[in-house]
Amino acid sequence: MVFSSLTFLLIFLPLAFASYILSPKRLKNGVLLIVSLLFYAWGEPVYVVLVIFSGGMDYLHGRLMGRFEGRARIRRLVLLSSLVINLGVLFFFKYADFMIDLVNKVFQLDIGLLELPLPIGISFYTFQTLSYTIDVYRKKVKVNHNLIDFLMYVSLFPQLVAGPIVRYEAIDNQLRERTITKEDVTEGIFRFSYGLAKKVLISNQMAALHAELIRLESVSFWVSFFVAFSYGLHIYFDFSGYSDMAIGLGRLFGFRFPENFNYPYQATSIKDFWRRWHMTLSQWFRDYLYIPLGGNRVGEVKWLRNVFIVWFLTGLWHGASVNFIFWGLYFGFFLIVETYISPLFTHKVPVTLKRVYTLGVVLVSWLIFSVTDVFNLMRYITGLVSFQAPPPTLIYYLREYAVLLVVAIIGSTDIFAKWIINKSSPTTRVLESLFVFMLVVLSMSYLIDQSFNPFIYFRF
Amino acid sequence: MKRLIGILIISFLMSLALLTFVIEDQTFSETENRYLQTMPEFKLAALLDGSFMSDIEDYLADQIIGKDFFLTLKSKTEQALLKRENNGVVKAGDYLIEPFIYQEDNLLKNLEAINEFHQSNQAIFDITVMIVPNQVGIYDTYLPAYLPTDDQSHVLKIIDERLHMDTVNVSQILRQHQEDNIYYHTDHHWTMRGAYLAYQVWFNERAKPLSDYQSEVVSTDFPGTRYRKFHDLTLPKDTIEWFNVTDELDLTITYSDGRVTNQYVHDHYLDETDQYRFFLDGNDALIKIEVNHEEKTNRKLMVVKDSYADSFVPFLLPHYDEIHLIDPRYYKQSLKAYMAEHELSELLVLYNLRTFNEDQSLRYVLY
Repeated sequence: MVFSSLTFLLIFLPLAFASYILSPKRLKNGVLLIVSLLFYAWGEPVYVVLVIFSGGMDYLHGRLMGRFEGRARIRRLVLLSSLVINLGVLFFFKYADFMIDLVNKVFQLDIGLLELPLPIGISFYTFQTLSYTIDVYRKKVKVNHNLIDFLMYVSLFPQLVAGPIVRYEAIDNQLRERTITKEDVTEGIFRFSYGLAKKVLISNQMAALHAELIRLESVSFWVSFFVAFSYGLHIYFDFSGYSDMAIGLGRLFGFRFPENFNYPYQATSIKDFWRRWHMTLSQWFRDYLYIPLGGNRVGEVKWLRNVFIVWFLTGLWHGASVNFIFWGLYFGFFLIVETYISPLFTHKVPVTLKRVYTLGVVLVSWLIFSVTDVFNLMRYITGLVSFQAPPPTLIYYLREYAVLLVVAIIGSTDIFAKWIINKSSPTTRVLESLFVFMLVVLSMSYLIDQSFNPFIYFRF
Repeated sequence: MKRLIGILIISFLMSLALLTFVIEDQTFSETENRYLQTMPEFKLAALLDGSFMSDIEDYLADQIIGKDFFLTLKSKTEQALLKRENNGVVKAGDYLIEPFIYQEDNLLKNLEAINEFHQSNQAIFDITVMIVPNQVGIYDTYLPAYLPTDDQSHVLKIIDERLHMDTVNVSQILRQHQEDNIYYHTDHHWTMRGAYLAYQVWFNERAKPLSDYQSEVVSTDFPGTRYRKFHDLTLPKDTIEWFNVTDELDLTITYSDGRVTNQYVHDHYLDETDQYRFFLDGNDALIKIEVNHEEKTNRKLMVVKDSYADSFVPFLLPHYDEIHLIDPRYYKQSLKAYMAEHELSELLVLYNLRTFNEDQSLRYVLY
């Protein structure tokens, strides 16, 4: 199920919340587990087994590590087993066809593809459960002895399908003890509503604009630019909207999830960008891969190797396709360059210039990200250096979406949030409240009209 | 205040859900003119393949309480965002218009099929083709700048040039009278006024003057096809005007299911959404109209057509003893055989350009 659906908003959410609030404290985690599995089963009736298997396995591995407390070798074997199982499942469902295809091409073979549908959210929950076993191994967290609590953590529906990647460590205590204040409920609803509006009112529209623009046949600078631009706005509002909804829902059920986006398009370098974009993913790779590999506290060659590995895998995490690998390595490249020329990134360089540089690099990255075939990608990349008057159709659509584009651009900066915080007065609170209610009603109208033209939600 | 709004949001969503479930389902939507999803029946197979879930989502979208309000709100919001397009319909002046995308391959195939039919039958049949432009072709000055749409005049010119038989070119006269309500404002059809102009071009001096007929406004609340797509219920609905051509004519109309009537128009459709069916109830594979003139005209006409013909054919009735109408979307047999059987030698192919551009059934009756 997706949050931005009528089924979720009108049936699932009210029922889930009511049954959670009404159930006695000792049953709350059990109720939340059932509700979460129902949520998952709604979209993937069969793969719900996989979530339970994944969670059960990690629970078992955690218990085993607890059992063999002092025996380092066994613990290491258990960790290894957990890594193999988790990554094996992820590989099998997400990357097997990609590898088979690659092998077929290289060796001129004809091995049949598996053609399994991708289990929703598998990349997210695999990383979450991995964070548990790795941290138990490192003795950063205690072993969880309650299977229900643990399965509830793995399947927790707000963050199950699209993040944020909530590490076990981050909500360990909340699994056992949490309260819901009136403020939690109010703030949760507000946060959710903002997220819903970002997804339905802006992201979907930007997706529609992008869909029109990629139909343009002759590609020149302005076409390439706005294809990337509309995609950049679409994916930001989609993804951060989803994170907002997840964080808001989390609060409704008493959880505090980590933030996942921090106005990434205001970043002043690529390094800064990745501290603001999908933060829980980059932190995961930092803590569970980059630093264990030695990070930057190693020789230059090893450091370069580490950057390569991390960004190769970051790219691959986003999808089983070569362009995602390029996309990751592309960022790795700029991060290395930025490190070498860091003296140039001092405060003497105007912030605007840094932002223009960063946005430029990020926009090109969206072309690599969104255009899966190389020939097409080259059209857009070469288009960037072909300066021609914008085609009439482009002008039409830019005019058609002009107001929304301006709203989206302003919405991707912190201008609005700053205004709300700085001008906090009774009047602004009233205005904000009415504004949020309006957003919910408008989102509903757009969702109801989607029955005419549904959008396909992409999934990692 | 925030808390109040929080409660308001929750109660808003819950009451929408409750009311939607409590209030009886509609099975058919008048405004959208289609069957709606009703509460899906629970089946294990449907649950496992996920169709139960998508049916629930469709159910909510179709049956939700206050749907017209929400859809109008969306349409209004789009307009407030200075968008001129909603669900593929563009507001251009007073007209709701859909852009035209030229499907060259398909259209050329249609032309070729007509030419071939003409080639092999020109000795026995007298063939005339009339392709009528749409609003998008006539009201091009109202269109938003740079709207991605293809030039209908250009396509009509190609049709004229490629066809080897008589064509009736109605663009010019329609253009001259574009302010005379010749098309509906919210529907994709032309009005009887537009159809009359085309008749005038075709029949020249033999055409009867429009003033011969009594005009009657039969509906002022016609929500056209584009009205339903654009879905801004605050826009004015359309007016249907009927020129009473058939008053003094004795008609026998036979439908393909055997139904027989002496009425060209069907009043009861004016109470429904698809009010254009008032004209002839024309969506039928084969309709035979016999006109019992006091003095026989000794002329019979075969019309291969789309729904534009339904407001056009009345003007032809005084000139023929029989008019046979075939809609190739539903009629799948040999046109030649039918014409031979009924001793028809005059053939009119009447389409609006949008349908002719997209149609893939015409070529399968032209043998």
